Amino acid sequence: MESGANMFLQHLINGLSIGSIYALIAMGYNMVYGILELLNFAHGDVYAVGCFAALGLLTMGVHPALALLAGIIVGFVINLFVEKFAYRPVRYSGRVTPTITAVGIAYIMRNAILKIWGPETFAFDIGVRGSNLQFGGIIIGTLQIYILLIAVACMVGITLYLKKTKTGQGIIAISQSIPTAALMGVPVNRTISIVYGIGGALGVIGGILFCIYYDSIFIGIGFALGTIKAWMASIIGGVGSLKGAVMGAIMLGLMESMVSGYVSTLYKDAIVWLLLIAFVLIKPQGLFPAQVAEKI
Amino acid sequence: MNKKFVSLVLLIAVALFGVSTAFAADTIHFAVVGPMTGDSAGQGIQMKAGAQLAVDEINAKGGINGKKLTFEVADDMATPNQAVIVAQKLSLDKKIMFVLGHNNSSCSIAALPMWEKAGIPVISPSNTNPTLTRLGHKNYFRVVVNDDIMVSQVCKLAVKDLKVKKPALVWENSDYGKGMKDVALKALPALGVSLVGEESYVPGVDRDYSAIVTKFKGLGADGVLFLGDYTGAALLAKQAANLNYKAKIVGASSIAHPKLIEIGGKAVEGVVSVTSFDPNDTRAKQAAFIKKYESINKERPGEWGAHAYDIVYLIKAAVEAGATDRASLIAKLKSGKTFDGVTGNIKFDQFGDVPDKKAFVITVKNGNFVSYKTK
Repeated sequence: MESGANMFLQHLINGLSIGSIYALIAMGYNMVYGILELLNFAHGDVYAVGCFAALGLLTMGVHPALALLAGIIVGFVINLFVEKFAYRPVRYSGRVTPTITAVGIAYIMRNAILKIWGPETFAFDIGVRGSNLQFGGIIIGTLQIYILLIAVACMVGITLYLKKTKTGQGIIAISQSIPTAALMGVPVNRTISIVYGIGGALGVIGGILFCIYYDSIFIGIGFALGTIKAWMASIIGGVGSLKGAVMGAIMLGLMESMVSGYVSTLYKDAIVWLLLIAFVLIKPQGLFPAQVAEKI
Repeated sequence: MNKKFVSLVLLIAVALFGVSTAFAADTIHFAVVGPMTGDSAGQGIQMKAGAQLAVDEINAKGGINGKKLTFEVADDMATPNQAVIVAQKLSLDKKIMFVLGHNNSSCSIAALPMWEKAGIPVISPSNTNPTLTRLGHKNYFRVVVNDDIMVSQVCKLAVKDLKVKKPALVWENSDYGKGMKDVALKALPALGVSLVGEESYVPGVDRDYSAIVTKFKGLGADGVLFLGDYTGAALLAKQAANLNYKAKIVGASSIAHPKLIEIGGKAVEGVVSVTSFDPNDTRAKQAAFIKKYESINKERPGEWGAHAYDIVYLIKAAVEAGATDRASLIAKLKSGKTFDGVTGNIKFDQFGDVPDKKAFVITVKNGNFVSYKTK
């Protein structure tokens, strides 16, 4: 029997671990969401293809580091194509049309995975098995710490990229107004492509960490555990803000873990959604709304 | 010229049609319906493999009364709505004499009215929800013991053999899981122990069991009754190992699949399960079947493969005893004759259940399922 305080701390750590995985997935999602206000329903399924590509290479005996890198590149490249052929042609046709093409892409990706790999759960073993650190009765996996560090590193890296590079500044300009950015000489098409590419690559990083953390991969990492969680995290954290995506994801992870731990696993999803709805009613902008200079 | 051409086409069509119906009369056709994709696809694929082995053996010896066996495979994706769609489609096919399926109780519950309307006998290799045979369907049979019996044995195994004093329960949120949970909630108090915790998960969606593990650990549960699928059991065992939670994991039939070990690795060592087929059975008839199945499919059969194999032979016996169509097949299966299969004696009661069938206990040792000796 363990003390209540220890149990609470363990639930807290479990929630942080789940949250930091959601965070990586949400960051890529939120970049696209924030800039184009597009509900990118294809996000999860695109990075799922990247993760499955990594799985394919792993089972062929390719070195894990190379396989994972290839998976990330696959995510980046697929999103470049998707942007060019599914989003760019309908970019200025209102918000509904690109949302529908995104759903179409999601189905195409999902069916590609079904065709090649099928929908069962596969073991995902890259030979990295974290050890456990014990603090009193609380267990923290080193893997959990790495995941959190990777999430923070990606966040810092992308923040620097946005603030310090010319392309990054271009991305920020586009998120404020595409026509104005174009007039200022920002290469709109190329910059938006890069945003999608980075979004896909970040998604694959998150997806792969998810697979490593749970030692398994299945098609659900795309939509049910990807797109939907990323979207929820973005709503909580604030659309278009990286910090918001990370904090929103961690809050989501904590909510899931605490509700499962202290209320019921049976009603977990219902309760978490209820909390989300309540949250949206109280704070529709999210915790950290994107900071956009008001036009005067 | 044109007219001649048309009449020629018609002639060919009539000839072909004539041939195909004549062909149909020389065969006994059935459908294997189960999850060929999805989280329990491993089970559906075994159903197909078991049926295939029996069909090949029977056809190699000249078929049943000179008729060759043929079958088609349909995927119900382990989801009730897909099961109904499959039943809608296949029940229009007059060639199908019987259905070997479904694998999942929830699929059978949904699709049985459709099959019954067409008069097609449905024989399931693995439905264990106790209520299924009490719904009044006249065309339904199952060759597996139901969960009343199975889960009572799981509870007994946990309490009597593994000496679990404070059991906790995880059930999959489906007709199958809920049916088992209800049985366990009655069986455990009767054995003198009470549950310390009870949690559920959504099969095919939930991947995180750390909250459940932490909770059970906090409650001091010394045994986990896992009433759900092999993927869930494997992931729970892994996450329990990561969190240094050492409770014994005990489950019912559907976790006793080779994929449990493939996904769970070292973490599932020592997991114990009640099953209606023991893949290590050394009795001559069983051992011969297991060897043959393994040489073709590169894995040992679980209860799905073995039951499907038995069902095909069961039908053979019924046809040899005089069954000629769907209705007479149902009558023959209900006649109370005992069929001796690789999974044990199959004798249906008036509900289509096999109340006298024996269950086995197996455990994972050094990466393999081995027989577990109960007291």
